[in-house]
Amino acid sequence: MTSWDSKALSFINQTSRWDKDKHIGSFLTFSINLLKSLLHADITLQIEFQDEFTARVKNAYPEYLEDMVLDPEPIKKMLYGNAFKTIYWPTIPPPNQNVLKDLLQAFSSSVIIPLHTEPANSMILLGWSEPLEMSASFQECIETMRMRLKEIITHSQQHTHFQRVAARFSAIMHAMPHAIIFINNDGFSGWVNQTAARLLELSGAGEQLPAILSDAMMQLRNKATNADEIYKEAMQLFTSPSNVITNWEWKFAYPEKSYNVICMPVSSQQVSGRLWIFEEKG
Amino acid sequence: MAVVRKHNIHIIGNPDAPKTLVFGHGFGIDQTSFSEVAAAFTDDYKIVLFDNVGGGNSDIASFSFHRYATTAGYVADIADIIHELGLAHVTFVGHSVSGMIGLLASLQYPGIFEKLVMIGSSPRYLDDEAQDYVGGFNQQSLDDLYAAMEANYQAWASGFSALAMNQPHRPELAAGFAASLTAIRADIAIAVARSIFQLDHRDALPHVKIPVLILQTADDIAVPGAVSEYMEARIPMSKRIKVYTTGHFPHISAPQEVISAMKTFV
Repeated sequence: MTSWDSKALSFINQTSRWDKDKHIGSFLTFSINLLKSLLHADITLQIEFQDEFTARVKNAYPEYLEDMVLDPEPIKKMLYGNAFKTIYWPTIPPPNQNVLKDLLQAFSSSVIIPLHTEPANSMILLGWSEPLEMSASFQECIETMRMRLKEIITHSQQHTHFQRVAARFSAIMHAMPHAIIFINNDGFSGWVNQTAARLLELSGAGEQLPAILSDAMMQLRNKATNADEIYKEAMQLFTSPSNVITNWEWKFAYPEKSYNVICMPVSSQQVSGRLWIFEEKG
Repeated sequence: MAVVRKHNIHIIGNPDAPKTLVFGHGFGIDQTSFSEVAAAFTDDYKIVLFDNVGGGNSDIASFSFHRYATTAGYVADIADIIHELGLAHVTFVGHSVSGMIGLLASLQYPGIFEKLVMIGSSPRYLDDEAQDYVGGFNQQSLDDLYAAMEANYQAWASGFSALAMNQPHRPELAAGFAASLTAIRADIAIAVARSIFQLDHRDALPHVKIPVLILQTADDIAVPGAVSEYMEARIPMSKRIKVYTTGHFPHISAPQEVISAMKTFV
C-alpha cells in the first residue's frame, strides 16, 4: 500500500468514526481539517455556490478567508469547462488565467475538487506553498477522498436543510389557533402543537407518545357534556381507517366551551396516521 | 460595463488626477449623501460614487439574500468596482458599515486601498460584557429593533431616522433620511439591518496595514464614543478626529467639519 493509499483509507476511517452526536455543522469542518492534516496542505476551504450571485467560502484555513464571497460565474465556468472533474494544478496558472487568484496568492500547487451535491453545489480547494508532485497514486487518493467528501457534504447539507424545514413547520403549527394532534399509526410517535398541549393538559408541546395522547384524549372526551354522543360517533369513525369526520361537536361545561372537531387520516409514503383538529367555537 | 449599472456608479472630479477617492455610503442612504463632501475634492481627485446593492438606484435585480447575508458580499462588491474600473492610488471613504467594509476589503485584497477614512463606523454594535466591550446595543434592544422593523417598517423608519440623525433643529435632515429609508424594500432593509447589527469584526482591526482616519461625532446613537476609542487603540496606523456635530451622519449634518478632517489626512 502506498502512503497515498493509506492516507485515503485513513480519511475514510476517521470520517466514519465521527461522533454523530455532535452538531452536524462540525462534521464538514472536521473532515476538511482532516484533509489538511493528511495532505499537509497550506490552504483548505470549501466554496459553496449559494445562488447566481454568491459563492461563499466556508470551513477555511487560513481563518481570515472564512465567509469571503466570490463571484460564482467564472468559477463555475472553469469547473464545467473541465467537465466537473477534479482539477490538478502542479503549478498555479498566472493571475490573468486564474479565477481563484484572490485565494491562491503565494501558493505553488493546488487541487480543486468539484462536488455535485444538493441543494447547493460545492468545491473544495487545497493549496500548497511548495510545489507538489501530483503522481497517479496522489490523484487516486484525491479521487477516493472526493467520493467520501461528497457523501459528507450531502449528509451535512441535507441534515441542515431538514432541521430548517422542521423548525419552520413546527413554528407554523404552533402558531395556529387550532389544537392540532397527530397520532402516527406506528404506535411510537405523535405530535401536538402548543394549543393542543394546553387543551389536553400535557406537560409540553411537540413529540408525544401515542399512548399518552390517546389517554389524554380519552380524559378530554370524558369531561365533555356530550361524551356519550362523542363515543358513538367515534365508534362509527373508527370502523374504517379512511373515514373522515367534520363538524363534530365536543361540548364542555366548566368552563363552558364548544369545539368543532375534524378527524382525518393522513397517508403518504413516509407517514400514516390520524390528524385531529379542534377549533374553538366563537 | 455591468458593474456601473449594478452600483449606479458616477465618476466625477478630475479624471487626470493621480489619486482617487471612492465613497461608500451607509445603511438607509445612498451616494448623494456625500455630495457636499465630495465636491470639496473635485479639483485634486478622481471621485467614484456608487450605491450599495439594495440601496439608492442600484440594480435591485442584483440583490441576493445569500450574498448580502453578511458584509462579505459588500466587500466583494468593492473589490469588483475597484478592479473593473481599474482604479489605483485609492483612498476609500466609508460611512458607517461601509467603513468596516472598506477595512475588510483592505485585508482581503492587499493593495486595493492606500488609505481609509471611517465615518461613524463600528466593528461590533452588540455589547460584549465578557470582553468589557461597549458596542451600544444589547441583544434585547436589537431584537426589539428587528421586531419594530418587521411590524411596521414605515413607522420604524420615521422614528429611527430622527434618532439617528439627531439634528432636532434641522428636521429636514431626518425627513430626508426617513424618505431614503422608506424607499428601500422593507424585506431587504430588514435583512441588511440584521447583517449589519450582528457583525463582529473586532479581530480584524490589528491586522490593518494602511493608514486609517476615524471620524467620530458626539452623541451617535449607533456608535458610542467608546467604539472609536477602541478602534483607534487597535488599528495600528490610525488616528481619530472628533467631528463637532451630533448624530450618525456628520457628512450630511456638518460636511465642512468632515472635509477639514479629511484634508488633514488624504
